[in-house]
Parts: sequence; C-alpha cells; structure tokens
Amino acid sequence: MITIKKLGFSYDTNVVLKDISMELQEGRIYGLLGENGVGKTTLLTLLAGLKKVEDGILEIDGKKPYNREPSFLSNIYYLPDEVPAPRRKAIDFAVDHGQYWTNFSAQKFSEIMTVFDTDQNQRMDQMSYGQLKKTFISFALACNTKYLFMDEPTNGLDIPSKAQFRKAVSKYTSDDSTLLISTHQARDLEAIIDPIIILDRRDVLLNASLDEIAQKLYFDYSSDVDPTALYQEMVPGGNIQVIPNTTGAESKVNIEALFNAVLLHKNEIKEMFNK
Amino acid sequence: MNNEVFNMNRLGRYLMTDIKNAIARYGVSLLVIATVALTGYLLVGFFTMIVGAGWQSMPVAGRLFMMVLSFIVLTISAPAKIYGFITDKKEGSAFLMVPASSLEKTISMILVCCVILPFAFFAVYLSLDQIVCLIDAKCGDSLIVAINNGQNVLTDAFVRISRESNNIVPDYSSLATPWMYFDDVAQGFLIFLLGALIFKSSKPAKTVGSLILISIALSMITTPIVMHGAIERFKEAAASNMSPEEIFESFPFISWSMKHAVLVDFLSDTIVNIGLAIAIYFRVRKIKH
Repeated sequence: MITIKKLGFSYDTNVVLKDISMELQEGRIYGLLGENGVGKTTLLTLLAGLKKVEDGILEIDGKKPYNREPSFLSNIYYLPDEVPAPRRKAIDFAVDHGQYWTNFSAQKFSEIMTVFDTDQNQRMDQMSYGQLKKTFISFALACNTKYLFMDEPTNGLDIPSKAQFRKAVSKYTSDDSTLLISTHQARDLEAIIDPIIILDRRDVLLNASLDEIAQKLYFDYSSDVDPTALYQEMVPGGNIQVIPNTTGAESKVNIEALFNAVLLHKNEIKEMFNK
Repeated sequence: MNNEVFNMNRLGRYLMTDIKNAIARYGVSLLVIATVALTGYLLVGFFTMIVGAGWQSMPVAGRLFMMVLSFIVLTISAPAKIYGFITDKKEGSAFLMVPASSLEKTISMILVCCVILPFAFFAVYLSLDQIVCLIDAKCGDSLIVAINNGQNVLTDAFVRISRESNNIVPDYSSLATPWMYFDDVAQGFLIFLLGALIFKSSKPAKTVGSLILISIALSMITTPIVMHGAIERFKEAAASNMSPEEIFESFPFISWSMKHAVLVDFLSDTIVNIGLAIAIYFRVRKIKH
C-alpha cells in the first residue's frame, strides 16, 4: 500500500506539493490528473525515489523510496515522460536490464512488443520516439512489478498505439499490481483507469473510484440544459453535463467533464466526496 | 553484509551490465586512443618516406611520450563519456532505478574506470607496439622492453643517489613499484569520475579547473604551516657550521617525510583515493532527479 501523509515538496521557493495526503490501495489502476505544474511528475518521482521527501511521509509498503534499496527498487518501475535511447537492440536492453527485476519476463516483453507492432531486434537509438516509448512501456509491463508509475505514457503514441496501450495494460497487468498513471489525455485512458485522483497545487481534490463518482455525480448526455449542472459543455448532438446525483441514477463517467467540473467547483466536490 | 547494501552475485551481474554500457559508450573511442601506437608508427613511417629518408620508426622515447599522452586523454575523457549520463535527468533516472545498491553501483564504476579501462588500454596499446616491433626491425625495443629497462634504470638511480649522498637522500627505489603506479593511475580516474558525477556539463574542463583551484587553496594553507620559521632556521644554519645532515635534521617534518617517502606516498595516495571513492559513493547515493 502507498501511504502519503501531509507530503510537501518545493523547488527552492516554488512550492509544488503541500499537505498532500492519500492512500493508494493494491491491485488498482489509478489515473492521476491535474493541471500543468500541480506536481504530478514530482509526485511520481518522489514515489520512485528519485527525489527526497522534504515534508511529511511517503511510504510504499512501509519503505521510504529515497533509500533506493534493491528489494524496493525491484518492486517498482517508473516510466518517465521522456525516455532515453540506448545504443542497443530492444531485446538485448530488455534482457540485460530485466534481470534485476525479480519477476521480469522476456517472453512477456516480446509479446507486448508484438502487440505494439514494434521490432524488438531494432536498435533503440534508431527508433522513432513513438517506437521507443512503446519499447519502454513493454519493458515496464514485462517487469511485472508490484507498483508501476507511468508519466504521460500515451504521449508520442499514434492513435492505433493508444488502443494497443490500453489493451496491453489490461492484458499484461497482474491483479495485485498497483498502477499510477499520470495523464493529460484522459480520453486515452478512460477505459482502464479506476480510481481517479485529481491533484491541485496544494490539495488532493478527488480520490475516488468510478463507482463512487457515478454515485455522487450524474453525467448527462441529453440536449436539455440542467441549471444545477456543475459543468456543462456543448458537444455535437447535445451536451455533456455533470450534475449532483440526487436520484441515484446510473451514468457513464466522462473523465474530461469530471476534471473540468472538479476544477470549477473544488470545495463543493471535495465536500461531496468527503462526506 | 546486509543484502540491501552489498550482494556479490548482484555486483557481478551489475558489473557485466556496466561493462556493456562502457563498451557501448566508449568502446570505439578506447580503440582509437589505444591504436595511437600503430597510427603514430604508420604516420612517422610514411612521413619519412615522403621526405626521402626511407621508412623510419618513431624512437622509443617518442613512443613512450605518445603512450603517456594517450593515457592522459583516456583518464580525462573516459569517466565523463561513460558515466556523465548519470547527471542527465532522462538517462540518470534509469540508472538510479536499476535494483542494485548504491555501493554496488559505485564499486562497479570504480572497477570499470580504475581497473578494466587501464588494463584494456595497455593491453591493446602494448600489444600493437609489440607486434609492430616484431615486424619492423627498425623499431628498436618494444615499449614493454623499454618500460622494463626504464624501471631498472630508475631503481638503480634511486640506489646510487642514496649511496652517493651518504644516505641523506633515502633509497626511494621501492617507490617504483606497480602498486605505487596503480595508486596514481586510480587517483586520476577517480578524480575525473567524481567530476563526471558532480558537474552537469563541460565535465572534464570543470574538473581540471576545480583541481587547479583546490591545489592553489591547499598550497596557500599548507605552505605557511610547513615553512613556518624555515627562513630563520636557514639563516641560523648558514651562519653556523652545521653539516648538511644537521641542516636536514633541523626541519623535522620535511626530514621525516623524506625518510619515509614511500610510506608518505602510499598513505597520502591511499587516503585521497579512499576519500574520492567515498565521495563518489555518496554522490551516487544522494543524487536526485
């Protein structure tokens, strides 16, 4: 389990995270959303032990990530937004580096590379950015780690690759793995992320499962405008409206509309979900 | 030792990965630098042919100079080329995430820089020189023979100087041992490795600059301490009828250091090298991205 209590972090005088608290349960694929500069990448790098926690507590299974103990590192993998391009064949890189992750499977790596339609025998420094990203996503999933943190994994992927990404994550993630995926492209991941975390500069605005969200908010796709809507957006053929769910009606959560509604009504939504 | 800090199997595996990384990043450069022996030989031969002097070989002294120069280039450039990426956010993050301990990563880096690189360099360089000298009779002694002869000359010189000075100058022949050479070679690599891990750009230049500044600062601090009262004592010694031995003995720190030069050299190099290794470890341990 990931425990974050009153977490604070700043770059010199620029406070990025302050008093952030949340718990992440095992076996779930969390979507981490937030505006630019709210500290999503910073949070992921803190979880991966690439930065030192300045204030508060951040623990993964009771361990402090910054200690970077081998047993801890072999349980996590962090896929940054920008990935390096080693001068090696993808399969050689994967087999050579994968040996440090106890549950790494070279066969799984090859399978996922096939799903992505990417040649595992190609040198990584000769790949396009999208191919390189897909290679690292394949490697990340093939490591079979208990915790997997991904920063904007669909950045640089073409439209078919985004679908392949969703397929790969759904198929190749074990039930007890916890994924935390930061993204600005909510639609790319709509089908796989649950729960949703919406981060604000100094607050966690929302940390709830899709079921909880659907219980408390109704996503209306009709053409009638509801005056109580927290958020309303015209789309071809009607509207998307986010309305407090007072009747218990069921609806499909639209993550983009949810995100906009949360940003417009921070306190109201927080109160609604903290009840 | 705690499995989280050091594990021999993990170190072995990591070292193999690290060697592959070193080959990918510096293999070609190492080959270019290590084949200077052959390049120099061919260039001199062709040049002397062009000017009508027939095929001539570079003399041993010139070849030794080329080897030392090549080795200096290797010492300065290799650590930054192989491990400079660690300060880069993109590549450095991947390095930090590899499940091996900071100690294992540090030991592996030190082994690659201080043992494997020099060994690979000298193996290629001296072998090529040996082959050239076997083929071409005009080459004279190979570098291996020349180094061996030079070592004997140096040892003899130390013994002779000591004997002729009535042992005022101690016998330093034991300074010229392989370990003492290794100490210095390792120190050079450790300094530039630390520089590669500290500076984010222009790593070798900034390391050289820092070395110059540190040397100036150390001289400014130590010279007054070592030379405290020295001028007065020199004047007193000159005015009296003190023998050279007595003058030498009147500077206790200097005379002790000279008498125990082998120990002083060994201790100072070892302490500095251990200090550098510890600094590298903590840099690896504490680096953030």
